[in-house]
Amino acid sequence: MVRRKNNPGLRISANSAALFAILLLASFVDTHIAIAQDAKPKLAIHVGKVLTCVGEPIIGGTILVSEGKIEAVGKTKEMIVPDGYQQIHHPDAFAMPGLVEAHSHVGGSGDLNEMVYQTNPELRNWDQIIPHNEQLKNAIAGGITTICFIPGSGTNMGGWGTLMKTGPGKLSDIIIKAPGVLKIAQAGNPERQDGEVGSGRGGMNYVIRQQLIEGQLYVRQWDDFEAGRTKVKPPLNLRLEYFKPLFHREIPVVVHTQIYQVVQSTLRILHDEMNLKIVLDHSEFDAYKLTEEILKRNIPVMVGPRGFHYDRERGQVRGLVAEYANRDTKWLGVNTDSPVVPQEELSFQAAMAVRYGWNEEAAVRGVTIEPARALMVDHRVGSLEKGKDADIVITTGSIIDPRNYVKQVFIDGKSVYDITIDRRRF
Amino acid sequence: MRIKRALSLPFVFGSVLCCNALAQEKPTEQPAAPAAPQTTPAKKAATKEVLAIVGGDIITVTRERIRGGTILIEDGKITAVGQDIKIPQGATKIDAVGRTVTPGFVAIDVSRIGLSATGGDRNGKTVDTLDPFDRNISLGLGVGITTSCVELRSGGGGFGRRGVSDGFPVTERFLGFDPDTIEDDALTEPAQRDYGPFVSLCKCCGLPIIPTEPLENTPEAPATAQRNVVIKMSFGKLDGMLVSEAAFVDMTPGSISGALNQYSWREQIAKAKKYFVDQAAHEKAVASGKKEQPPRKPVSDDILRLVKREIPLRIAANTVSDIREQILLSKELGYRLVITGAAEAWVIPDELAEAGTEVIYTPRRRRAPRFGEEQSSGTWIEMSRVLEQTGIPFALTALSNAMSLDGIAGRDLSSLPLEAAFAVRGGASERTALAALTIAPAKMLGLEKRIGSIEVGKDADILLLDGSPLDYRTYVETALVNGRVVYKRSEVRILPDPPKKK
Amino acid sequence: MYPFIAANTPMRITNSVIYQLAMLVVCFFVAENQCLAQRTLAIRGAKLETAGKSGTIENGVILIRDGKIEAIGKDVKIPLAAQVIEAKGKTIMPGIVDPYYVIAVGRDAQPTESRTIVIRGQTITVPGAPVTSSTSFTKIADGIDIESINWTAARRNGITSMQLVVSGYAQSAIAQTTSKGAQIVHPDGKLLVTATNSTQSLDALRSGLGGSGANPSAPGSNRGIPIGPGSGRPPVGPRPGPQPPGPQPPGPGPTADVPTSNLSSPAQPSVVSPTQKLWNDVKEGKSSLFVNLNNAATILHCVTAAKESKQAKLVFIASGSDLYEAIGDLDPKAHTAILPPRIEFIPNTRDRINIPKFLNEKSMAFAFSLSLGQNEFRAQMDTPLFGVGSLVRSGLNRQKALEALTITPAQWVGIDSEVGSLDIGKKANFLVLDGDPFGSTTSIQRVFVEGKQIYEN
Repeated sequence: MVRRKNNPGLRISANSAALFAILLLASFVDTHIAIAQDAKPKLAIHVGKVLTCVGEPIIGGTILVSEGKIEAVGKTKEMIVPDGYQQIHHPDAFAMPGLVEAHSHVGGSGDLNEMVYQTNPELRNWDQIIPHNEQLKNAIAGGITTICFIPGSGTNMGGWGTLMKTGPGKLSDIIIKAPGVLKIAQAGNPERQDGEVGSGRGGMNYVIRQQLIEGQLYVRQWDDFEAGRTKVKPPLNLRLEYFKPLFHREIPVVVHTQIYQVVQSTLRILHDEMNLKIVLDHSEFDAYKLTEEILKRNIPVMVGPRGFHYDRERGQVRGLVAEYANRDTKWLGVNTDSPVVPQEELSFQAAMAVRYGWNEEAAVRGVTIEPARALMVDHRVGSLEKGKDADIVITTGSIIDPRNYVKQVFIDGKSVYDITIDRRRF
Repeated sequence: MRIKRALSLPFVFGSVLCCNALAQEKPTEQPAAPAAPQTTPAKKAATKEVLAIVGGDIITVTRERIRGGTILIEDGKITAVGQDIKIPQGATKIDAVGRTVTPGFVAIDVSRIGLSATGGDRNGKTVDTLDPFDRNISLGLGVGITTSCVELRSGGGGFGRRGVSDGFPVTERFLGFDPDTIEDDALTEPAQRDYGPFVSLCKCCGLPIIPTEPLENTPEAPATAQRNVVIKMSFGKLDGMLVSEAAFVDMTPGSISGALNQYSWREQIAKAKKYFVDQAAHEKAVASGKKEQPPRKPVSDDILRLVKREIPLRIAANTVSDIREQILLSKELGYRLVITGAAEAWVIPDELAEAGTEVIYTPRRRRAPRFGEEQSSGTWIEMSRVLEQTGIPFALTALSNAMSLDGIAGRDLSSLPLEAAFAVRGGASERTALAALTIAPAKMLGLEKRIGSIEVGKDADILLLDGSPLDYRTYVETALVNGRVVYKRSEVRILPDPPKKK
Repeated sequence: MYPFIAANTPMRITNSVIYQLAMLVVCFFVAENQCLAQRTLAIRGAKLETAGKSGTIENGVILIRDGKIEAIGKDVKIPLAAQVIEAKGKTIMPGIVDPYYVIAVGRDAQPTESRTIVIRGQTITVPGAPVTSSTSFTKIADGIDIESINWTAARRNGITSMQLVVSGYAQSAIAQTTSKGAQIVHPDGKLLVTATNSTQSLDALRSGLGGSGANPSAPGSNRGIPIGPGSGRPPVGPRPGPQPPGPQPPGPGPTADVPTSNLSSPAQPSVVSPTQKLWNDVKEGKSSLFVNLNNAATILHCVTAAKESKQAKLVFIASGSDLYEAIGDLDPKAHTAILPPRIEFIPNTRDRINIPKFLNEKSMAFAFSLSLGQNEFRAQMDTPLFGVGSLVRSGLNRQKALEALTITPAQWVGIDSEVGSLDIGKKANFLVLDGDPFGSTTSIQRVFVEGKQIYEN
């Protein structure tokens, strides 16, 4: 990871800008806005310790930032900082990648559930985003720079969620991916009244499968047309359009699922039957007993907002994340389900998971790179690596320890929170 | 007598409890007084049992830290603390090498823990409802709580767990659940649980959402009696469990706000003051041989004690104007004041300091500022620093005053020490943060001579921790209350086991 | 009434004997009931679990005359005129004494279980009456309508004697099972109280045990909490400064100077002389006090309340897990326990524990009440010792188990001179079993009370 290069990352930044543009294109956003990079200075951030979240920490590290991207990360004494870089010194502090929240509802207004149909693939939530709202400002003070902003679980398919930054800016600046995820809820909240289809698990899973198969067919028709296998252009169906990236496995489903029985059907229906990328959210209560099946399928688990369960057999409080970790689950993270747990307390969710038996190194990864990989945005965020977005959090120590706090936050290379200027929020 | 002593050892905790039986045999308040052992002096001398906690890193709270120190305990009291303490022969030793030793924590706002749900007499005595086998006691001991100030609420569901004590509505206070009723929750999703009319539930997981609207002044409300008792978390033993009844005059939020409420409050205080004058006159008259009826008590005993400054008034106040109102009243009427909630206390620290007002608050509690007053209203994480710098004593409470087994980690009483970590996050020193769990609440309860620090003569309420008391990873390994081991992590096993060493 | 018919009985009795006996029994029942009791009956060949002085006798003889045991042993000479029952391969044990047989009395004398009745073709389920928790004193023998109670379960469980109790404040009655029902043999039974975490119930206990206690100024009576037996409302309220509210200066206990009759607690049961006498008997250790408790904490409250009465013997009716939790405060000299025979959970876990075994290891005396385990009681008719058997198989001392069903409860109830063991001079109350009492397939074959067979399986 340690770089010792003289040339500034011009080519790299051009590459990444192109990539960025392509992504934005895919996200139905005007491209020319994204290229406006003038407000992003070149930075050289020197800190006592860098937690890159990939590989070993760097004691006495420097991060070079240019064009909103990380240009280089390495030991300060091995790094040559070219001219024109603004020097930022935090000799006693830690630097780490911005935290990634896997399950959040605070990216915008609260109209998270339009419960017209039992499945709502016609709904997308990026129209509800309020960039840099109060909750997100607090989130930044807690070190969170990326959230997976998703619809609620009022219906079995709540709609399409957005992967977005917490910082200020236009929608086009802050959206990483839209649609970023599909929200499916398999039990519990979407239950309907007695007697209706969907008042039980059988009915709920029927409507989910029905909707997915409809989407699958639509995507196949378009795939065939685009590959030239058929001449007939299928009619555009706005309700099914976003199933394209889903069935192309470019975006995952985040599944509201918990309890052994329900997670079992998540694995069987969404993964085995529909061949989708999935993220197991919540996964509380006794769902950890399915770890072996989860590992077999290499599926990420983002536990939360609950952090423990009370085991009546033993009469003991048991940490949920620890239950997975002790069964050799590596692709593991926590979430806040904000606002259930305030967004800024993501690191505290990890702290409690450590208190209840996880380990701290895994916990740091579990709020950064692991959720980023799960949400399929690890090419952009989740670690401090060359070429990734310059989302950097400067803390007084390990962020997992509640005694430590965030001193400064950069998103896309811009300082968005600095306690020497701003009033501390968390 | 011997047989009895042997049998009074709780079998769970083995041999370290020997001093306990002795502790029960005489009044706890007279450790060395010659009068105390007069009943059967010979036997007492022969069976004097001493407990020694040896080799620990002792954080006394009120004095210097003692590395590799020894604590001697007799009759439930600390008899010696220091590095060069000679351990008497026959003393039962507790090895504390590599352990941090601190005084037990004082939880100053606790819902009905340690009290039986079956006690239902209207005129019943609190002492009869004590339940030393309440599982919540073990949960509390597991995080270091050895003394609790328990609110007694009449009526209400959840054994009085609903309520408002720090001025934040119930909606923000995570409701506690009994271990016994949690059973079904493991198999059913919690979406349908009733949290009351004002709580919105997360559409995603069914859990209650904590609203953070801007703070508003507390509306006037009729005064209702709130009772509180201080109990030791002496698991399995009634002896020494009840420490005091009514450590505060507890007023409901808003009950001394507004012209009418304040008028009647002033009246009460005036009556109490007049009573003392009348009583003095009466005593004088009696002394001079006159026969006359003593004056009748015009107000409750608690109010009399308040006026005598024996106990403080505890009331919720959150906005600057609410806090000011209470400070002014306390100065005018001359009683001690403890503010709970205290969301905006950081705005006017000097006014609190000048009036000698104390504060009970939760560092992590958040409340949005009022529009246009972003820099001077709402809660602020740095309040702990402000309070410390201004010299305002403060005690900490958790977001909820119950023990919750609902699964959300770290938001209820079982995370009380973590609130102290958040106080450090806000800028307070570790020393002050630890004091906020120990000696500061002990003083508010008027029990600073008995609990809150490790000093000779104090109750042996002691924790052996596997790390720094404010580290989020630290667990209580052994807890003593009144000199008796009441909790061992490895035996009680209510909290997660330590990770296995590979 | 219960003629022996060879085809129906599995007992290996010689045909002629069976025939003779059958004829005799029929004759005597029909002709003159009194006669049978006056005749001598001998049962031989069975294994005798006497629960008494003789211990276990293999292939023994038990000789019964006038409803009492005249002789028991291996080499008992059977008189010529005696009726002889061959009982080879059978086991005989004393009739079971149930020390806590809950019934309904007086205004609460409705069945406590729900029943189904049919009115005009419609089936209606009538809920049972709640168990009374009244604090007014009840003398059971005065209020009981013994005919209205269904005693089938008692008979078929081999219970020959029982202490009839109600929950609440009462004096029990001692009854004996008969072939038709039951009859009261001792109307003046023991004192019963029910204690909860309520001041009202604990005050009843404190006022009873307090007052003119046997030894009020005993040393070590001051405990760290402000409970005083006999004190209606001790001054636990405001006290200046940081002192603990409880401890009184050493010397006579705070209770000694409060006469019981002066108590002004509103919930005080009116103390009149008959109850006072009962309490005095308890305080002087002449009679056990039966305390029904609903949780572990209440056990501690009771122990504290009874501290002053050094002589008092308390019998706790509590669940095994509550006893397990409170064991640290229990004194085997003063406290004993009645519990249903079953495997229980260690509190707060799903780990199972044999509580009677545990109590035995702690030298705590215990007795079983079969009727306390209501479900088992009904389900296990004719095989009443299944539960106890499982405790024995999982480690409970066999002899203790036997005693806990017979002589131990008889002692506590005060009828051990009459029943509870197969000893000479005692009533011939016994059970004939088809195998080891604690075998998993053993069932009751016959139940004898005062030498008369009252039930045959």
